[in-house]
Amino acid sequence: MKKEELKRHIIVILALNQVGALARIISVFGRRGFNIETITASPSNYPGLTRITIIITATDSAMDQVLAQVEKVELVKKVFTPGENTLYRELLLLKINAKGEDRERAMSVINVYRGRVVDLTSESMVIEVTGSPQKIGGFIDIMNEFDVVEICRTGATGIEVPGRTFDII
Amino acid sequence: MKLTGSQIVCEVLLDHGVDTVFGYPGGAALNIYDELYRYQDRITHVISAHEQGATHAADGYARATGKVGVVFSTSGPGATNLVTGIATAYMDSIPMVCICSNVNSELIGRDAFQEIYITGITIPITKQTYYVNHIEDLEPALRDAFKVAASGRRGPVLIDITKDVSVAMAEFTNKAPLPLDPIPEIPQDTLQEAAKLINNARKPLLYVGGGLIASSASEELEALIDKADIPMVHTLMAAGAVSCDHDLNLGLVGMHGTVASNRAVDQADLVISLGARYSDRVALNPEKWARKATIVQVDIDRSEMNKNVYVDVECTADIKDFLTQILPLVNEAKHDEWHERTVGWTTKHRLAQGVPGYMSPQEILETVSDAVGEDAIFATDVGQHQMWSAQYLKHRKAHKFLTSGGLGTMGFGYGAAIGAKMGFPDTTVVHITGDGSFHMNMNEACTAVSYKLPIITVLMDNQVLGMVYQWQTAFYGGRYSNTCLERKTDFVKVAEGFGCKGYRAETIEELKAALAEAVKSDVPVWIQCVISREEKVLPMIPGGKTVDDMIVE
Repeated sequence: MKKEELKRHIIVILALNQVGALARIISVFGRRGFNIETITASPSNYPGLTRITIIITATDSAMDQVLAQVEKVELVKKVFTPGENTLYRELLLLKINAKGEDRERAMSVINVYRGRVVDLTSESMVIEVTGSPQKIGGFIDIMNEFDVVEICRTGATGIEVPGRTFDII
Repeated sequence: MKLTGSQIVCEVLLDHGVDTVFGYPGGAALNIYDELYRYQDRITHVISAHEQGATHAADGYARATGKVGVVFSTSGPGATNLVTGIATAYMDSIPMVCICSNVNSELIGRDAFQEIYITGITIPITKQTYYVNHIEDLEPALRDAFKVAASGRRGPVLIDITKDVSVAMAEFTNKAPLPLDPIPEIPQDTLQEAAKLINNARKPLLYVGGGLIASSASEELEALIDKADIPMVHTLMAAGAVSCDHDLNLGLVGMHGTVASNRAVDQADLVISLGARYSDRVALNPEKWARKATIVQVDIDRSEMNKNVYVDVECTADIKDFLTQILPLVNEAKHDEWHERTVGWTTKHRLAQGVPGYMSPQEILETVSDAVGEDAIFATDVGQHQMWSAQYLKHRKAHKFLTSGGLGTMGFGYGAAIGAKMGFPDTTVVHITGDGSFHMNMNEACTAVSYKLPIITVLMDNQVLGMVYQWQTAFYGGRYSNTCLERKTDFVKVAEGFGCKGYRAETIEELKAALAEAVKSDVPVWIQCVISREEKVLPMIPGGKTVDDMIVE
C-alpha cells in the first residue's frame, strides 16, 4: 500500500433533525479515528432535515471509507463532497484591545477586508468579518499584530454554483 | 382503538410475529411487564439471571432462527447490562431489538434513581437508537426498529421508553411490518466482469463469511462450487456454510485456519469474497494477503469495500442474489491441477497428537459431534475451545454454529444456547465452553433449568485461561500473569446445585457414557472434560504475519 497524502476534505450531510442525530454522526468520525476540524449545522430547505458541513483532514481512501460509514447511518439521507465550483463562507468575530493610533491602523485593515466593527469601548473593539476560510485566515494573520483578546469563527459552510438538486425520499 | 404504550409494545411485537422474548424486569419497566403478564399466552418471556444473558439469548435465538431477537430491560443497570450483548450482536451483524424502559419524562436529565442515558451509551454499537418520551412517537419507533434491524446488513437497535409513555394512551391499529429496505440492484457490467474473471481463472477461490449465512445462500454457494470446480475457505462466522464433508471445503481460514485454506489464499489467482470482511484475524497481513490474486468483493454493506484489503472489483449486493444471478453466467469448469493441489493440502499436515494421558480437544469434539448428529446446534464461548470447535466439530449445515466472532465475548455461549433452544425446542443444543468463559455466565444455568431446556454443556477444563496462556507461552517467555486459575470449583456439584446433572470425564469412554446420558436428559447437563493446559490451538499464524510464518506444531 503506497503512502497517501493527507488532504483537506469537505463533507456535506443532510440528516433527519432528531434528538441525538448529530451525536450519532459525529460518533462515526470518532469511531474511525478522524478529528473534525470544523463543523456547522443548521436547518436546510428540506423540512425536518439538518444540513451539516464538516471539514476533516484525511487521505483519499480514508475519506471514501468515512463517507461510506456516514452514508450507512439510518438518520442520514444524503452525503456528498461538493465539487470545485463551490462557494464557502464563514463568519469571524474577533476582539482586540486597541486605542489611539492602533485603532486607526486596525480600521484600515478592517476596511480592506470589508469587516465591520460591531462593538466599541474605550479599550476594545469587536470586529465581524465574513468570507472564505482563506480570507478569514488571512485577516487573522494580519490582526495578530494587534493585541488580540479573543477569536471565534463558525467554521465553513458551502454551496455549489450552480446548485445541486437532491433526490431525497 | 386506544391502547396504552405498554399494550402498543406488545401489539407491535405480535404484528412482527414475535412469540418469544428475553429480558429482566425492574421499576421503570413495571407497566410493560404488567402487560407482558396479560399477553403471556401469546408472548413467552424468558427471564434470565442477568440482562447480559438475556441479550445473548436473544442473539442466539436470532442466529439460530434467522428471526429478529427481542430483549427487554429496565432502566439504569438493566440497560447498561445489555451493552456487551448488544456489542456482540453488532459486531456479528445479528438483528436484535432491545426495548429499555427509562424513568418518567419529567425526571430525565436529573440523575434520577436508575436513570441512564442508554441511547447515548449505545450509539457506536447500534444501527439506530430511539428515545421515546411522547406516546405518539412510540408505534413509529417500534415499527422502524424492526425494519432497520432486519434490513441490509442486519444489526441491533435500541428503543428507550420513558415510564410515563408506557401508560399514556394512543390510537392504534394492527398493521403488517414495514417493508425492508430493497436489496441493492447488481449492475450488469459488474456481474459480467465477475463471471469473466471466474471463467478465465486457473486458480479461483471462494472466501466465505457470515454474510453468506445471513443471506441463507448455502445451496447457491454449493451450486457455484460444483459447477465451476472452485474450492472455498470460510471464516469463523461461516462454519457450516457448506458441509465439512465436501472435498472442496478447505476449512477455516486465518490465524487458526487450516494449512490448506491459508495456502489456497496465498496461491489463488482469483479470490471472490462473499459476505466476509477481511478482518485482522483473517487477512493478518493485509498487504500480502491473496498477493497473487485478483479480488472480487461481494457484500451488502458498501462501507466494507476496500476497508481492510484493497480489492479489484466491488459488488454491493445480497449474497444469495449475487450467487443466483452469476450462476448462469459461469461456465462449467474443471481446474484439475488446482483442485488436486488444494484438496491435497487438506490431507497432509495432520496435526500433532494430544498430550499423553489426556483426551485431546480433537477427540473430544469429534466424539461430541458424532453423539449429537448433524442437526445439533452448537454455541461456544471464547478462547481455545472456540477455535477447536471451529476446527474439529463436524459442521454440516448453516445456522448451527453460534459463536461471538467479532467481539469475542467470553460468556456468550450459555445465553446463546438458551436462545437457540427456545427457538428449536426439539433440536439438541450443545454449549461448548472453557473453565474461564463458563465462570463468566454460568449463572444462566438457572434459566435453562427453569425453562426445562436440556442443553448439553461440554466444558473443556484445563485450569488456565488457555488462549492467553498459549500466547504467554509463545510470546511472553512463559510469564503466566493471571492465567493459571487453579480454581477449586467442583463443576459436578455446582451443576447439581443449579438443578442440572453433572459429569466428569477424563477418558473418551467416560465422555461417551456421559453423552449417552446427556442426549436423553430432560434437564441441562454439564460434562467436565479434563484436558491438558499444554494443548495449543494450531496451526497458528501470528498477528501481522503470513502463511509462510505458520506454526504447525
